[in-house]
Amino acid sequence: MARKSVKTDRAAKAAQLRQEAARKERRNKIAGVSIAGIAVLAIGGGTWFGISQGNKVDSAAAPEGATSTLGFPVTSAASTDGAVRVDIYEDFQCPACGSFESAAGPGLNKLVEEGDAVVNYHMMSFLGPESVRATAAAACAVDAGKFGDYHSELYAQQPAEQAGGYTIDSLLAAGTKVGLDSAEFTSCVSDQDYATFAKKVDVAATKRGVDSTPSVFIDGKPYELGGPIEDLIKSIKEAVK
Amino acid sequence: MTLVRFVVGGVWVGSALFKVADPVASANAVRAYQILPDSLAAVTGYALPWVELSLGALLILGAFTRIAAIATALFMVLFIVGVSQAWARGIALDCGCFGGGGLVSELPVTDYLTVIGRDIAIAAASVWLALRPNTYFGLLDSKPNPRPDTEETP
Repeated sequence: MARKSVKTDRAAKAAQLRQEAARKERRNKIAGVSIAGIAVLAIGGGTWFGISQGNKVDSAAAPEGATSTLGFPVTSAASTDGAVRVDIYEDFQCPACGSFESAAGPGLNKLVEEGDAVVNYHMMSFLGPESVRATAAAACAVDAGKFGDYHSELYAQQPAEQAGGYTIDSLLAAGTKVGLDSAEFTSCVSDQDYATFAKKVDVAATKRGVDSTPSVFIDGKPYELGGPIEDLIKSIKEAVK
Repeated sequence: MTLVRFVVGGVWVGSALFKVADPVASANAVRAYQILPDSLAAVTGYALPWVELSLGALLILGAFTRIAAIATALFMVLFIVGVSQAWARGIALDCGCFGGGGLVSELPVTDYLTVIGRDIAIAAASVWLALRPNTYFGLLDSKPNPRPDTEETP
């Protein structure tokens, strides 16, 4: 009697263990399929989200005065069709661009004033939201026909990199300083009308192979920066002939 | 090994979180490597953060650990190839490893060797994990109960 009861106990226990193992396996299977499904959905959904964001950037409108390559031109009354086209890629926050502007800005402006060159500034914004705000505001200045002055003014008061500079207030104040105080400009800057467009400039620049800022092209040909600024001015003048 | 699983998974999730919010910048970062034709680079940039997030989640959860570890090692090989070719071709590059646009604002640029070394370390850890995928605290792949087996065989 006693022996038999022990035996059935053992059999029952074994059956119970087997059942538990089967249950666990089933549970793991369900968990595995769910986890794999969630991963596939996340990747698919995320990619779709990315594509829709990319399309939004692609279809963002440029300011009317921008070039086909999304540069903001600086011209003067003396500008002619024969002027050399200089393309400069910058980010309003990039310190090297700040030094470049303070060194080369006056010389470049002189070339523009004398009708020798037209400078197209491609304002990139890969250094963060501060740059996006500044580029978007600069696009508003293009609409208002005062990009050149505004560009110089923003570089004159370049804030520390990635420290929350170029606030809407400071961008508006910079505008007032160069005579940009219309209601259109104010609302354009405050509403960040060109924030999505700003990203489009980065995409166009990368497609062109621009990998760092500042980058300069004279007549469409890349110019190697690094030498004295006089060399740059000289090279542009030589291209005039 | 359990720790390795959490560290590698954590690196994936961390790098992904910086990127998911800005898919356009992510696409541009892939574009900056100048390997893939444009539309392909864009899609890769859109998908990559989510693939990274998924791999990281699998590793942290301990589900499909071996597959996720092998995929991680393969991705590291791809990243090393990408960075090396950019280095060799003289492309100035911010690797965009943890978000960012892949472009640089001034020279000197990314320390390519550091990036490659980091990728090699993660790849080695992943290979090890692929060989021994059963660790503690895993949801699906788990070490057997460390207590001595109490089951009696009839």
